[in-house]
Amino acid sequence: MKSKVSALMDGELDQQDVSNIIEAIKKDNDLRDEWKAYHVIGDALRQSSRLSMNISASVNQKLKAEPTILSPHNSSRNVEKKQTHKVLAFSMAASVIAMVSGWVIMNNLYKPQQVMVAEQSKRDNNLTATPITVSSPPLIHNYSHPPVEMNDYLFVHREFSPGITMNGQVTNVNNVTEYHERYGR
Amino acid sequence: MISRKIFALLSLFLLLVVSLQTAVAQELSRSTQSALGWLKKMAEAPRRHNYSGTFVYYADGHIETSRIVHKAGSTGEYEKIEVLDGLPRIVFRNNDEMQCYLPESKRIYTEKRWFRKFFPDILPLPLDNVDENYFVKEIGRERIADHECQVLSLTPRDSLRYGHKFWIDTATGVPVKVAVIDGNQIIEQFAFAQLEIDGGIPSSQLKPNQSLISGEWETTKLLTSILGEGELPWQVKSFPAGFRKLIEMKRNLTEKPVLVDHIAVSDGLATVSVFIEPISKDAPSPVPGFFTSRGAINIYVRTLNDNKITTVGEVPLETIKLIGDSVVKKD
Repeated sequence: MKSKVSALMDGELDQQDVSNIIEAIKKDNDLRDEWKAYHVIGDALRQSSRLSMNISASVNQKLKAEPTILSPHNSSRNVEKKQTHKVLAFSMAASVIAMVSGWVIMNNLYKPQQVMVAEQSKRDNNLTATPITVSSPPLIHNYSHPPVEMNDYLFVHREFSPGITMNGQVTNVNNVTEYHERYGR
Repeated sequence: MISRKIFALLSLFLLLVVSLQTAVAQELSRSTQSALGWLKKMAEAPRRHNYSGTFVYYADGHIETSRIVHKAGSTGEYEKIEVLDGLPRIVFRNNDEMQCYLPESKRIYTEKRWFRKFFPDILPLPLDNVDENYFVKEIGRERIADHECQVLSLTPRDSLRYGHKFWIDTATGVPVKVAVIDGNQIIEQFAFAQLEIDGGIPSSQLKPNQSLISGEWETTKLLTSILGEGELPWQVKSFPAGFRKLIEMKRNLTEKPVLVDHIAVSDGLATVSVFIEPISKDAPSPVPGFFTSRGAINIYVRTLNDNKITTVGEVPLETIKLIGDSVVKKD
């Protein structure tokens, strides 16, 4: 069935098959995901201004859930063909994130003037994910002792930007991720 | 076979992204004069009108309610903002002079040169380069807190900044609701739950009442000394696209006797503050890294020789890092 989804995308099905597969997609969540994944890939390749969906979370989850996906040693040709599509779908989608994220990091570190490219593509792909996406789950923990001056800084900064933070409030300061972990230096 | 296919696809994708860079950058057209007109009206309105009401700040599932009374007259602006949730905080303002009362700790912070940026007075004047960095668009009318509002969306022209959405009272221009948007998600918002514009405001409402000022209060004067071009030993060497330096200052902080250097950077709407201070030998050494606070605020800490550079602002982490990393010591 899944190979039919890709065939549908490529316009290779006849009228009857088209109706059948569309019906099937409507009913089957897996097929619908498959359909979305193909669209995401298509959008990425066409560099559409908006990807069909935000895939970062689900792709990550799928990659974790299906670790064997990258070893397609199947004897049956038919199965192999299916697997190819699947591998392509997910590895492509994952690569989009990986590349975009990689670029963000590289541009930040070495070519700040180029950040627009990476940043732009990141936004256009609607991948709100930061470079954290490709690494292990980020270390988000409460910063147990936020430096005293952090509150001061926030307070003073508010002079220039609207906000509610006024001194005296314990601000919810979290360490997003370790510097070294994120930038490896 | 598969890996070659993937490789080919990846290369193609790479090529496309690079070649389409220019096209993408020009995707959004200029904002219309009409939309920019609303923005101007919104920037000026809070300084011209009386208003009183209750507004709600919402971010990350956290809600904070405040009451505001604002009076505009021949002698300037008077304002009182009282935070109703959590620790009580009451701010009185007369033009540039600000007093912040913290009744729990019996502390008062005063500042003579406050640049006033509290909701709903959030836009800088003059509105310089907003159109260069955001596509401003009118997107219909909505009724908010019983006020007919013009809805305005500000889409960032790149991902170095967040998007914004404003709901502007059509009669006066006072913003009734504002939201900061990342992609399709609202990450921070202020909204009036109740608002009266142009009503009469007795001046007694704008002064600390007797019960507040009784007892012993510890007053801390916040001092700011605005510096001329190049007086600070620091420099933000390169700004991310659309950002420029607003002002350079030296100032004291509430908890510290030493003066810290403060550089404010803006893209016309979003502002980033860079604080530089020597690392104190007594204090624990600073942890470089990224921090978030509530809402749209991001924080980046790094060290440079024996100094700590803290960059704070309502912009994405990448922008914070670009600005923080480009701080250099002048020769």
